[in-house]
Amino acid sequence: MTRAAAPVNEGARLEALRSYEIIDTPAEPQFDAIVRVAATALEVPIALLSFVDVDRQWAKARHGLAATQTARDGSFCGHVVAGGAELVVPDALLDARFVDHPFVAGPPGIRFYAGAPLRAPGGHVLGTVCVLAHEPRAPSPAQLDVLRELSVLVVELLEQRRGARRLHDDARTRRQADQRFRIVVEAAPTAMLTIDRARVITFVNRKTAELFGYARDELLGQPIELLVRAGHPGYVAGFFADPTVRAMGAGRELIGCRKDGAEVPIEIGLTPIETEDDGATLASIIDITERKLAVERFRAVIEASPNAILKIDRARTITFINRKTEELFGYARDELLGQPIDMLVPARYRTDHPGHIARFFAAPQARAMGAGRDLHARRKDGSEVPVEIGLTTVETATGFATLATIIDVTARRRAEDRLADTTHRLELATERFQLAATAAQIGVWDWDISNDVLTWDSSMHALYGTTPGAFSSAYEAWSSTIHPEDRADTEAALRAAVDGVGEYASTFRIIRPGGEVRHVRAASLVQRDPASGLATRVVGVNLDITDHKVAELELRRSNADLEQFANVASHDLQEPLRMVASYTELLAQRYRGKLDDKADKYIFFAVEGAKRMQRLIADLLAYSRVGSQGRPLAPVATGAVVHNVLEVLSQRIARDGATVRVEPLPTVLADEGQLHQLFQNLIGNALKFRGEAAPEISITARRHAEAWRFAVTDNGIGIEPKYAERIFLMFQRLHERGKYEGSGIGLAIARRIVERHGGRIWLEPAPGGGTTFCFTLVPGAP
Amino acid sequence: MTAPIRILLVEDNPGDVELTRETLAGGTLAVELTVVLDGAEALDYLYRRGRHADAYPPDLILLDLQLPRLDGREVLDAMARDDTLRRIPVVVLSSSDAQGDILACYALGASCYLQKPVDLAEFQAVVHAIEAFWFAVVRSP
Repeated sequence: MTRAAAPVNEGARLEALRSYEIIDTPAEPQFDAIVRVAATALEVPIALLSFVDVDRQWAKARHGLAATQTARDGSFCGHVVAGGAELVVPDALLDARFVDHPFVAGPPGIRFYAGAPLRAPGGHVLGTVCVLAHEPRAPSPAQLDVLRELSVLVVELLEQRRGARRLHDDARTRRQADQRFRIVVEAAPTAMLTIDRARVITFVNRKTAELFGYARDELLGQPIELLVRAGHPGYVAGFFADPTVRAMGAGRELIGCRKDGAEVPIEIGLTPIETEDDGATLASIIDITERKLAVERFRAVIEASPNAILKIDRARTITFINRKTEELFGYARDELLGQPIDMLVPARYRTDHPGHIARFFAAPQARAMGAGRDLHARRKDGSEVPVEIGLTTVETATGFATLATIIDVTARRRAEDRLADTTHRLELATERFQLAATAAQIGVWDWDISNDVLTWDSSMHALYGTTPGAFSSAYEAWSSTIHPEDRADTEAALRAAVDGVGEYASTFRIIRPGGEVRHVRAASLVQRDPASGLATRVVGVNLDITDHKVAELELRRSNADLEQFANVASHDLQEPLRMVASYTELLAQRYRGKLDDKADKYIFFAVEGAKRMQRLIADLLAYSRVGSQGRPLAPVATGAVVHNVLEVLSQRIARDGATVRVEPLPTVLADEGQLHQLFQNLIGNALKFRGEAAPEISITARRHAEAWRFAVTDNGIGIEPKYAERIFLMFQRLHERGKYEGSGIGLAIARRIVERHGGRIWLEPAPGGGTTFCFTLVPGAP
Repeated sequence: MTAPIRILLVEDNPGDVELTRETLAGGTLAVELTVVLDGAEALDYLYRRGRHADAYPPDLILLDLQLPRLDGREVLDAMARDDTLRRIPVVVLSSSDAQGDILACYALGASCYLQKPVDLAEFQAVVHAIEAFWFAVVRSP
């Protein structure tokens, strides 16, 4: 058996075979009849209509044989296909190609074969119409003609069937497409209609009817001009006459006419479509009322924008501005539109500006203009404003344009400057504070109450003699360092501050790890939760005042020593002096006139000197006692004290014919005895340093802020301003001895008393040449 | 003429002793003045100890506060504890005008506290006042 080679164009042949859709279809009477005719005409028992597939031979119709398919290899028909021509094998046993074919060597024992090719119109051989017999044959030419004709018939039949099927498919496809088109168009949210070449409406969708307010029937057969109008006549006709895909009326106003006469702004898109007759145009009509409204709203928004917005085209011409632009630049709209942008750019930037614009148009990205540069805009009046500018491109009907948003940043710049200034000052202040805190060794602490975390700065650690690691950062760690004698008071003060009862400002002692005791002054600020009012945090400072404390104690001791000294000294001086005075006086008593005149004079000077010294010592003693024998301050009614003083001085007042005017006087915090002495000294002075006229003395008090200010005014000889300070010093006298008695201690004592009371005393010239002594005292009642 | 008043002057300052003596001498009354120089001797005199064994009890004591050995306050204190001595009037004469000294003296039973005057005239006035005080008032019981 010889295998028939596959035809060269086997692929195309198989494709052609497939196109007939015949393989594996059921038997059909037409084809069955053909094989019967073939068997009869060639007088053979077996006839087949076979198609040669990829690897098999399949019989569409058969006569006298049961098998519907056999392998392609070595088949008779395969040879027909390969050869492309008719094949007649009169006796297979004599033919080397088929002698060992299974059908020849075994059942059904084929000896004769004749096959006519089924040649498709393209030349491909699809299969055969063939006859077989069990014995050798020699068919006549007429018989072979029949076989040939039958094969042609089969091919015609196949062709016919294929044509019919294609027709059917095409029609269905077209129907489906048409249906789909209608569904789509019908459901489209856009009005759509078709017109023919004569611009007559041939189809409208639901939306068209809705848009224009017509029933569909009323539109079909009508000219398109019924629905669409344009600015100028003939435009619509010309537009629809040219069947190319395009948008209609871009940048141009088209108007739709409704049945009720109303007008609708519209936009139309056109698509030419093929039809069986003359072709048509599909028009999509969009109602742009909303869009126009949106555009107007957009314009209104732009117009109302708090920023200046302007648009320029590629030629740097201003094509649009809003109201704010007019305001910012001081131009009217008409003065700007159509003008070059340069007029808004300060002269020094004008050279570079066109380049910037060109670059922006080349790479249009929304961005801030001149980032990192200070931009200025030039106003009509020539002044400049600092601005910030944002740029975006917009596509318009006439091409790209640049939209610039311009913000006047004058106010912001000013605020930034102020902020920078404030920040700078704050930084300076912080720096100074840190320097001061470090230099003054002020420790800063921060107690987070809710978490009980106590944070110390390095000065705190230095103050407490600890290191950051050695401190456990809790309240307890701090309180345990306080001197046991001060602990309760200090903690109570802090608790009171936290509870909002008092300010925390206390002085206490701490014991350093090494046992050294330091004095600490603390003050703090309590931060509260605004809602609950509960303290959340306390920030405070600690200041080591040990040196101060030591100095204070030393000062107090030395003051006490000094007073003690003055007291003892004056006391001990009194004794011998008393002797001198007493015995010189005794001498004078007993021996005056008994010695000579000189002796009398000497005795006189000795007596006078002794008396004066006694007086000085007594005054010194009185002065020292202001500090050493003072009593605690308590509320004292000044009026009563002055009254007593005037009682004591009543004789002198009467003798001098003085008048003393006393205004109502307040209650002050004072040592009553010393207050008495103070008034007595001042009133005494006023009486002593009188002028020619009878003394007039007034005593007044005025409230000034936290203190009472007293004034004792006289009409006496006055004191020159240059002595205003000196008079308060001990033993300072402005007048020669003898004219006015006194050692010059009175005002020194007065000042000592006032200062011990926390006040101040000074001198003011009184109107009319007298003197006013002013002093302040702390009010005695709230 | 009544018997002279016996006055014990406890004073270590000879100047004051002389002044007191001079002043009393210039007075109208007869005075028998005994002077001791310190507090310890004052108590010896009052208790008639040692060389004062035959002393007379004084009618009046003029006592300085600042004395050697035993000072005036201690003398007062000792006298206050003795029922007999307590009855003797004591005039404290001191150059101190300190409030504390004065109060302490009265608390210890001093009859009178007088500051030593700074000048002679006043001193004389004080001594004469003591005489008058004594004879007009104190002696009556």
